[in-house]
Amino acid sequence: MSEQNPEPSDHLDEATLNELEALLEDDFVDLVETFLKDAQVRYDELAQTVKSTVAEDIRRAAHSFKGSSLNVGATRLAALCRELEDHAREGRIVYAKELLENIHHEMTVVDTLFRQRYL
Amino acid sequence: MAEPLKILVADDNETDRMILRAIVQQEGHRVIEAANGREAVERFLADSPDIILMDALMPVMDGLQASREIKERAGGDLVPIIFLTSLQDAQSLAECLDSGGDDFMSKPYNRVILKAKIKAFSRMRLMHAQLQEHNRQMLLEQQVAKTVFDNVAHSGCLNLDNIRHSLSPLAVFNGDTVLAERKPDGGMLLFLGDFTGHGLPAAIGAMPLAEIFYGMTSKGFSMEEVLREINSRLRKILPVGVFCCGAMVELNFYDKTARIWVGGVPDVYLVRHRTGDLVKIPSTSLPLGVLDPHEFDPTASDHNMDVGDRVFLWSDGIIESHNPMGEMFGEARLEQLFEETDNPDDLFDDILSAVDAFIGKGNRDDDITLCTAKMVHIDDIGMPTFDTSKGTVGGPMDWEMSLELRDQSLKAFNPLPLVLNILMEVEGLRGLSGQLYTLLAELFNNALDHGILRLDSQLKTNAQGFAAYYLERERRLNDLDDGRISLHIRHRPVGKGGELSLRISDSGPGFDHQRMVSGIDENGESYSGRGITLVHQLCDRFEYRDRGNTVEATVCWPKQN
Repeated sequence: MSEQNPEPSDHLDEATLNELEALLEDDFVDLVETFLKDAQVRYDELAQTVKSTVAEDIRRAAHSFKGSSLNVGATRLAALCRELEDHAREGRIVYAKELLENIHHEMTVVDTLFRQRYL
Repeated sequence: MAEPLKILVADDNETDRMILRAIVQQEGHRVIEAANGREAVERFLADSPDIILMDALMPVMDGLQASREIKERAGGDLVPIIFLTSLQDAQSLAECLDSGGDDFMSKPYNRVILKAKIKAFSRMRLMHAQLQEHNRQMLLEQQVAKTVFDNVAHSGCLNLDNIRHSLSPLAVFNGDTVLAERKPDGGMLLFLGDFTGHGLPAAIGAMPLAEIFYGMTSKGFSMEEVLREINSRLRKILPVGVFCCGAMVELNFYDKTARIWVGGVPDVYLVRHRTGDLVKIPSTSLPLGVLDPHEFDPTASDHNMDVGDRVFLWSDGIIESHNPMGEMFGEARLEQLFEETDNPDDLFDDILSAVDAFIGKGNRDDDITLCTAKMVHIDDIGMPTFDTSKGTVGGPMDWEMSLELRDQSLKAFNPLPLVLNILMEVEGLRGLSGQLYTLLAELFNNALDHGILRLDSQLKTNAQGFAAYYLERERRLNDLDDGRISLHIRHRPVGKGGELSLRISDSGPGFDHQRMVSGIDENGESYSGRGITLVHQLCDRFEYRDRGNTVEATVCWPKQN
């Protein structure tokens, strides 16, 4: 369930996005679309690893999702991925499911915000 | 903007690639993309990018493995790899560099830093390429220099059966030289040199040295004269601190003697074939190119040599070669080889294999330069033939010249090379150069030794006498304050050939030319057979005149055989 009125600054880093928009110009829309498509794939992979409960696999998938989120300034999504990555590195998978749900929720927020603003 | 580069971006994340591509393209560079390590290696082989931006963690093949494979295939070329990573721990970053990475950058990308890094590595690539180009150029130049040097230094008569030598093909760039050339009188000069330093500075002096050595030796100049000329030329052209240590040996195959000069290289060894005895001739002079011409006095020692006796010349490379433990081969080990040998003929090979075994897997610090020559009968080695390509067909046919040397000139000047040089302008006489030189030398030296200096050749009958004779000769020559020798030489065309007339007169009271030339002493015993044989072979007329202080010889050519 998405929030009715998410506050963009809680979820996105404006400075990064402005910089990317300036850098990529017309291709910026492509970047956003690519990210959203890619995020869905990465989320599915992550969900798969959480189901398998192999800590190392969870860590790797979370690490990679974190990287691509950071790229597009999705800072809160990146922070959640990082939390999961840190737990997995310590071998703690008890919070994995809960964090995965949070990540899914944050994804829908980011998806909404991006679509509203750029697409 | 600097030269556009081809940059490979290897990242499995499409958004990363898009961002990196945008940054790199904004700088004017071209981008090639790969989505995993395997693709990165393939793209590297297909497109030879200038710089690679490589994600550390990728599926199929990770960046570390791709980096190792690329560096291995790049060989000597510098292909900078910058790792892109969100890894933070020191261990992971170190692994990136260990796998061949040149630098790393943390995600998210800082555009300013990435651009600066690309610029820095672009500069490094240029410097590396320049360095490689200089190196290629240097090797090329060395090859050219070596070819020129080989033309100047050719192999002289080093390929004669009585000489063996070891010299690495590029030894000239280590400063080592071995030269050998026949003299017109049938003798031979042998030289081993070791220039200070390495590379071109060491090689550069070897060319004039070889040029002087071959030019003067084949014209009949004496060893001392050759050494003086080399010293004065090297002194003039080489910078201070660059000089040539060396040893020179003059072998006389008629008298069976050796004159040996050593300047700065290890002792020259003379090995008696029959007894195995070893005579060491230590260095008595400074190296060539150190002293000013008027200070340089090449003192040589004279030695009798029986057939089979050998001289050994070497640079310090043998004695100073190291084994893996850092020990030097040393003179003691060398001497031991000479003491223990069963067959002196094997010594040359024994030395080389002993040094080789000693060095083992150790480093070769210096070249092993070694040369040995054996005393042989003149008949076994033959007279030299010189390849003279100068002159026109026929050359000067109708001429005469007179040369008179007074006492001061007799001390300071050897006219034979000059005279021989003029005679060799006559094409028809070139084939007779060796014999003509010997005849000239015989007649001139008789006039000087017996006519002017009034030395008794009886002295020369044994080894001690030989040395005494030359000591006395030097003393009398030094004290000489009156005396002259004149050479009158005429050549005229006769039929299809020519006729050469020599007249040599001295101011002395006269002596028995017949005895000198025929080689028969008062007791009717022969002390030297070559004079009379040569006179009969070469001269159509031969007589001595006046009170025995003038000798006349006529040589006609072509010779009827």
